[in-house]
Amino acid sequence: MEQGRPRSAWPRWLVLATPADIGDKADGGIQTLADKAAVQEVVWRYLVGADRRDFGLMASSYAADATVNFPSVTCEGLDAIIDHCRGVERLAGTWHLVGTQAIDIHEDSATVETYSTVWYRSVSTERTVDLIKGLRYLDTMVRKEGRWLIQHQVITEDWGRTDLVSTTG
Amino acid sequence: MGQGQGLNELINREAIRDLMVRYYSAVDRRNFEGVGRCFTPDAVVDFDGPIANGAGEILAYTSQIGRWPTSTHFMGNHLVELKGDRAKVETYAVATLRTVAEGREVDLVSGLRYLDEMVQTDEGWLIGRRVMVHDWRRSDPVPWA
Repeated sequence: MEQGRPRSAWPRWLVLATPADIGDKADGGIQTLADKAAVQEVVWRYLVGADRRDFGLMASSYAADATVNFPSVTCEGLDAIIDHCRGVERLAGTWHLVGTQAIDIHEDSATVETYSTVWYRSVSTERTVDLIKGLRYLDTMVRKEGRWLIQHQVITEDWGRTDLVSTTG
Repeated sequence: MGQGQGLNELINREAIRDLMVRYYSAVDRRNFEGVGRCFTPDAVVDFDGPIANGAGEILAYTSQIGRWPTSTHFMGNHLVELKGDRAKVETYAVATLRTVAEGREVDLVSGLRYLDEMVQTDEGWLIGRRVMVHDWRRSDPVPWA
């Protein structure tokens, strides 16, 4: 199991827009709020898509020429990304819970940091275990033809633990 | 989409999110009257097996959570598909129920999804149909507390 790493080792990612930045917009910030809602949905599509094994739903989050730095490997292009994601099919189940989320919108691009706690369940004849991890998804999104899509994604694994599953008691 | 329409959609999405927050808060506080206010009078809930028809049956089933001294519903992913005064909503929550089994404290931890059909009424957005899905569960002894 990975030991905790110092806070300073975390990638610096976002400079958040302040509420004042939103309020100063000519439309009172409505477009920024709508963009934030749309960007959140992009994140939910790839996480919920993985849990449902709906790779079409996952793919709808990414630009065709997107790059993803997974913790173990870098994939370039949508086909390579989705092929890698199909690895979840080897597990009995996955569950990606979305938590803390910070979103910074700049016109037609956005930076998004999402915390997710994930449960990956493995079942063998000997035992059932949950691999539980704290992941962060660092996304650079672009607006293409009115749709927000991920251009570049970095996935960091901040912590992980493997726990035997008991369902008694 | 016009500006007014966009604003209206944002307001509705926030009201729907707020309904889920109030639901979980009411369940964890054992405020069953508050739970009842989240559903239409003729709502139908599939509790991943048992079916409850109408507000009375829903409350009777939900109040069984009182068997556990404490519960925490940690709400996560929340997908909303709006169509006028109707909405399809999928919400993730991790529920942690602490209990005592054979003299030892145990956390029963479950991954839940709530698949809701909501409707906008004079009382605001309410849940008309719900399917609750238990995706996973585990039972963890509490080594120290």
